[in-house]
Amino acid sequence: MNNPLHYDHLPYIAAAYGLFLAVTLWFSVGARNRLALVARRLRAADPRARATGTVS
Amino acid sequence: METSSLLADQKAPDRQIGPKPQRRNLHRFANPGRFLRLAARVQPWLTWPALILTIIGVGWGFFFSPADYQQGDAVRIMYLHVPCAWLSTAGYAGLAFASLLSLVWRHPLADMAAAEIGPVGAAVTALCLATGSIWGKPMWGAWWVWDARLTSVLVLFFLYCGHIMLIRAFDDAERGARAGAILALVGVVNLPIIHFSVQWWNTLHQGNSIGLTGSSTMDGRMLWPLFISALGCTFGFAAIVTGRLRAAVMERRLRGLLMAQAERAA
Repeated sequence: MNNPLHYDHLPYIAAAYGLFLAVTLWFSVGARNRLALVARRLRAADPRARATGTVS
Repeated sequence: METSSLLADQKAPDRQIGPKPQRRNLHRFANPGRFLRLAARVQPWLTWPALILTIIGVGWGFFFSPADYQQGDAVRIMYLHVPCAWLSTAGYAGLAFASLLSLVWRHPLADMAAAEIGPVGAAVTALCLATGSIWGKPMWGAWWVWDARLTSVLVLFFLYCGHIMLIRAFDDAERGARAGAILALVGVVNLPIIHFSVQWWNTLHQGNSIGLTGSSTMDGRMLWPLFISALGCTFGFAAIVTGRLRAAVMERRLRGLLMAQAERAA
């Protein structure tokens, strides 16, 4: 295993990996939250979904 | 219940006379309920491989793969840049396919799929440009050059942005989706330009190191983490788009329910 602290151009590599992580997390958590929110609102609005506990 | 079964019996002979119905075509999934059930089952099979493969691929590339003899450790940016570049074009191909389904067959989910692929595709294209730019500064000495490959990918990013804006620019959502679909289909011409730009023009961007059919010029110790990272990111892209599409279908259903409730109350 390499020691990343000894990498040349480390700030550039860290910036690229940080950016990738931030964008990936933003979209995946965003999609998950949006899905959870709309499922909750749909269960609240639809009596049939509320009774069965499903939104499909 | 009795009435519906009677109607079904009356319709039965017609179904036998006509052509045999195709049960396994794309229109089966046009039913939002069926799509939601299928997507809910598929989602974990996309999310978990995405998480595991991306961590393995990117982690392997960052910690274990060797430095390049010319690029040094900056080559590690490739394990992010290449999957993003692949997904930017593959995502656009998906967007164009959804647009084609929307225009030709009026597939109800196709408009929503195109609308949900757009922002994710724009994000991976922006990531591709950003990681390429971050790599370019130490390697080329410049954040940006007006190279054919870079410029064509920038045009792709503008196409994604144009699609996102165009589908929201009309009061009538259907007209917006139609205009966006036409733009997406016209923009397909950019995909071969991106792919062949390094062959057609004398570019600063390096040529293709790996191909789908030809042999690779990369060492296996770099190729495997790159392949796993690309596979993981592809699963991730599909998982995010599926999640957004499920949410979009549910939002449409919710709007319909709330409108029906408001009409009943009025």
